[in-house]
Amino acid sequence: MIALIFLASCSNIKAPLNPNTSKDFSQGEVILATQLLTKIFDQEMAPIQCVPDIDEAALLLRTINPRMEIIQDDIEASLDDPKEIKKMIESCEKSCTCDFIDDLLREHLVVLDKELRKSLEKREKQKDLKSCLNFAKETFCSGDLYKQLEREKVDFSYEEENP
Amino acid sequence: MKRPHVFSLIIFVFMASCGLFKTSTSGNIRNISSIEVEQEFSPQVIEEKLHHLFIYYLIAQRELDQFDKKITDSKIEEIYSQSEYLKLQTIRTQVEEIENHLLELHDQVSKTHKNSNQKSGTLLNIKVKEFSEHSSLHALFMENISNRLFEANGNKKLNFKMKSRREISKYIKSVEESSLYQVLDKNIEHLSFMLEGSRSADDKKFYPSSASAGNITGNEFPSKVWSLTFDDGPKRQTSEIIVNELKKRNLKATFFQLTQQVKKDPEMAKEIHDSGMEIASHSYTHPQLTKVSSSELDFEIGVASAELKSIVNADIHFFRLPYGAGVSNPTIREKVAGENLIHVFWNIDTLDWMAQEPEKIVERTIQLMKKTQRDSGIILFHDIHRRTTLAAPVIMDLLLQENRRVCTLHEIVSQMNEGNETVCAK
Repeated sequence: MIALIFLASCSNIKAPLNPNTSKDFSQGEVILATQLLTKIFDQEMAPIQCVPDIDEAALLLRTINPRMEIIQDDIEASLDDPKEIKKMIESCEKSCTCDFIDDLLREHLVVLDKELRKSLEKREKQKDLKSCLNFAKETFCSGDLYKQLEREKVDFSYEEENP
Repeated sequence: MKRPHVFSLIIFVFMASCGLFKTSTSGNIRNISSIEVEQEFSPQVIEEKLHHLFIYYLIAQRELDQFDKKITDSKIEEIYSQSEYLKLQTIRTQVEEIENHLLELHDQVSKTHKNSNQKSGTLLNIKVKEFSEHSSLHALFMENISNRLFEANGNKKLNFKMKSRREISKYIKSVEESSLYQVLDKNIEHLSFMLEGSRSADDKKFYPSSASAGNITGNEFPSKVWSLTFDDGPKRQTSEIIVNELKKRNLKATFFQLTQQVKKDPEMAKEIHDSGMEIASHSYTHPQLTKVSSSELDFEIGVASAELKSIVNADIHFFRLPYGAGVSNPTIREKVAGENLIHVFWNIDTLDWMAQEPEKIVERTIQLMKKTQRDSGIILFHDIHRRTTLAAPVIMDLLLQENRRVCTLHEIVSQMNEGNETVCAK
């Protein structure tokens, strides 16, 4: 009896959160920041004041990676549930994540019904990635996410030693 | 940012004085007769050697200017293979040799004539002082040897004979046009080629270490040598596809596996190894190792690689930190080296960990490959994503072109360590 009660209560214990969990910043913010950094790394967008070159972009991408991994895992875990997919699509505009979600759906060969597909495409058009990235470009450097990444990046930095 | 002309020189001479040009007056005294010493230490010979020093410093000034211009546009891994840097190192050894030789002779003569009235021991002092008084540039170039002689100039103010810039420029021009300058310049060029040759052969050795020898990025690889690496597996649905694509093309890769994942599907891990692929360690559970306790570090590095070795029944030579976090952390690096592992970073990050079209991954990888110094390096993929199973084969096809060679890390590193002329031969 005691063992059963113990087991039952233990099942409610959640694993301690990784200090770099996405819970500290919204999914949308992290996804958009990652997309911005990737564009700068790929030299598809000009550098910004706090990300002046591709080396800095690469470093910040490594730093944001643990957060993105959790977010991607969370989203991928809900791709089996049509209700969750619908919910994600209906809120993707607000968080500028429509493109990202579309990429994940394609990657995992999730076929949307006609209505949902139309809805997703409409939202992608209304708030396209370009305008989202332009917004991110203006706000990233002054945001809390960047400040946090700045503090954390020392763990991910790598200065190649002189030969 | 361009450094001021004289500032660069001052830095060079400062480095020379403070330790870059380490000199030893005790180690290399030759056993020569006093007559020979007198002959070598004559005023004419000293003047000649000081003039040689002056020319070498002039050449150094020229190379330093060129080097300073290049470093603003060069990546850190390119800077030290620039020809100007090699020439500066060569000049350093030549200058050190002359200065050492003069000072050794000075010491010998001083000892020999300790109790006599002969002033041979102070001859170098006098000549250096005379030479330094020609101009501020002469004084700057003689600073290293002057400091070593202590009394050379003392606290007396030097009276420069050549005062105007025009006079100094004219003098420098005449020196640069002299045949001796041409000879010494050529000498530096030849010696620096030899330095580059010996550096390539001897310096690229890797072994478990918390220093640079214990970390590989791929930038060190010889021309056209590539390593494909796949992290975070094994995951049967995707790893199997990648291994089959590699086998189809007769290519080998290195798989940095998580022991946690290997334990879930040990058969998959063994199949990857049995296909001829190399297995390396990527920790147990993929945490950010800069955030874990010491005992967790032992677990994620030591226990992870030991269990991996046992399950796969293969030697594990390499480790890659999750997210690349902690490469500059001495504790972590010491732990990795302590497990007899070499750390592997990368120089091509495909960013395939992020959801995107496979074509985007391919495009990025190709662009990054073009930027490498020698069309060589280590490519980072993750064999747990479907997008990677589509992108990686395109890169594999590219690597089969233009005489590129693809090997496992162990093959490349052991052949480099052995000094093989052709690494990763087909």
